[in-house]
Amino acid sequence: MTKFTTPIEPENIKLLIAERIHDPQLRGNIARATKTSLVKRAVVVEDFPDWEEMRGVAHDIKRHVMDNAGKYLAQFEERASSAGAQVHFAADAEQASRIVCDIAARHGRRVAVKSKSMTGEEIDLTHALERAGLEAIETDLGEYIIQLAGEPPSHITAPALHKSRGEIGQLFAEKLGIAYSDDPEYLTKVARRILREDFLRADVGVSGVNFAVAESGSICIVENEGNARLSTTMPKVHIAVMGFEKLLPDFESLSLFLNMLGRSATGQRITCYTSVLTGPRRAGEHDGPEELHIVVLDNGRTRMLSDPQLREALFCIRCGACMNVCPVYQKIGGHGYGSIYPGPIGSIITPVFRGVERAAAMPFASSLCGACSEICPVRIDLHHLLMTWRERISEKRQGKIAERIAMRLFQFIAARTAYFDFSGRLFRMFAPLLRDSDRGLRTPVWGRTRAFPAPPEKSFKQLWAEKIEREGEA
Amino acid sequence: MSARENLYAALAGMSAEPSASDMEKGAALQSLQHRLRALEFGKRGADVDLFLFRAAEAGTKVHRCSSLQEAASLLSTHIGTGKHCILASDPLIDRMELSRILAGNQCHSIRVTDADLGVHNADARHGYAAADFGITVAQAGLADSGAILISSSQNESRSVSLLPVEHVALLPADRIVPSLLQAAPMLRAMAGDGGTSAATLVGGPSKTADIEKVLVTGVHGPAVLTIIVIENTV
Ligand code: SF4
Repeated sequence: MTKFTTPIEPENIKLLIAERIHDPQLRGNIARATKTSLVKRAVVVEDFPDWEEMRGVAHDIKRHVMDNAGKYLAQFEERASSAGAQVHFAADAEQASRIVCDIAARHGRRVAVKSKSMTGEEIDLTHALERAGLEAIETDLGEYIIQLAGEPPSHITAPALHKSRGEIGQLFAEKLGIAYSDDPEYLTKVARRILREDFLRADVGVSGVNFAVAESGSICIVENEGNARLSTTMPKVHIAVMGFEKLLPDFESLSLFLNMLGRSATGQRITCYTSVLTGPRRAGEHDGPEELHIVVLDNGRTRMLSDPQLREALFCIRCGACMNVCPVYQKIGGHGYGSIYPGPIGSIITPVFRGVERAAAMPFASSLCGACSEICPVRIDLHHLLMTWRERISEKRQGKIAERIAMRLFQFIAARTAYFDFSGRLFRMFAPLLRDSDRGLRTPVWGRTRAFPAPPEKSFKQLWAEKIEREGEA
Repeated sequence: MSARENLYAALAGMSAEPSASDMEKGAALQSLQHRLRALEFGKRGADVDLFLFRAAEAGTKVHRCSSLQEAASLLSTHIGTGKHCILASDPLIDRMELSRILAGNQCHSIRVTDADLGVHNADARHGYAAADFGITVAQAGLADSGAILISSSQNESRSVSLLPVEHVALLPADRIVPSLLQAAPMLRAMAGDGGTSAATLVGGPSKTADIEKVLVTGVHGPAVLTIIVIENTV
């Protein structure tokens, strides 16, 4: 069913985009979904006349926590442990998935139900669990769909956003042997029936963490479907994976962030279920896991934290709003970036997680319009961070020799009024020779996929002078 | 060195202000708290009408009753006959004599404390999953979002509000607070000793929009959430 063949890896970004940009169906799916989210978000953000100040406070709380990350992590570890949770630490993706798999596979456990977690995707946990011999089942409906399709997620909060109902109907008919239907209600019922049995027989539940509350050692998980509640309630063992940047000082901060996350992500005042879990099931309680393991992951985060510019990217609460609003994301979708973290924030953090060599093209896949920075609930200066990456990457690369000469020449001319005017006149004189039908100009490098706009007949300076003259006459 | 030691060493080496003492950290947090409390979202009223309006907006079915008796008879009609119900063992539910009323309706009802929902008890799990109604009492209601706060305890399992087809929550009107900010102290108490392993905010029926952003309720959790606000519970 998938017509795309290029592996979804950041170094393939150009091919991935080329495959997607001309697919009207895909573009339609993405445009519809992102627009719906933005419209809903706009309505509920209106609740707060001081949304801007909320962003400021949220930003400063995250900054404060990251400035004191060691202290808050120690507090969290101490409280979580005294509530009976076991806290583990992993330096990188491999270590983290090894820790999870070791716990999961203990005592002959066989079935793991997984609720949606971007950190889980980051360390490729589902595949690791499968390699460790477990049956690993994605239980978020969107994740379930793409697991059936054998694809990675294309959006951090709506993983199957790129698929139409018809495509999902076909997929279900093919993989689950049911009659074809494209009715979302029916398809959801089918998934519920199958997954309900999986929840009841699972040995291990694996989840991510949206926020970790330092003062109590609690983890907070936010969702709409109930699959996270089931994954963290039914199995005997619950394993949660989190980056240390999820820390918040206390429940008051949590209340602010919960007010902002639901609104930014899906346009909800609050998501359907917000679980605050503190340790495993307590004496006298009827259900809940006997063991709670929390795996704290570094995987490049301390490197990001030590980088005075990029550290801000750690404030991200993974709401996905910067993707929804991004004109590039709206055209190419999450898979176009080649990373499980797509869009503006993905283009900033993927070079850290996957290595700048592999993801060097990502920061360039942006129009730098700044819409992302404006919408981000924790006010991350996203487009400037993209520019930071561009500078660093270009500096290292030193550029092609011709490009360097051209830039020097431009620098020289642009700084001198007479030269600048003269070259403008030259350009306007010869531009008609490069004319390529009505699309604009044919230019060698830049113009291969885009039309260079034809210059106007008169320069701005000329038009201005004429205007002044006319007004003087009037 | 272990991953743990490495991580702490790395974090210690890069505190923005290397000398930031615990006192400074406390002062910084206090000033953030101050700004947080000055925000609009914590300054609304504990408005019952707003609660009902917001809950309905989120797809929750809402009712308002003046007394326990009224709530009991409403529930009796709502549930109908021949249904399978699980009840939290809450004094409020006991005082409504729900078990007796439901029995009169030919409903099969069990209390959470009667069911052994041990992690190994597969039968009990399937019993829960086959139930039509799970009935609980909410600890708080948030006026600005229409969400309720529930918690796992000796009297209330996590599953009772999760596995049945419909979740009915009773909410005494005086437990409604303006926003999540006012519920923060409750969350703190619940997370502490003598509290609970699971406090949950429920903001509507289980739902998804994963297929073309079309809203479908009842994915994994209850397809229906009914909240009955009770004005007078004495
Ligand atoms: S960068 Fe900001 S807008 Fe983008 S996902 Fe993170 S928190 Fe949301």
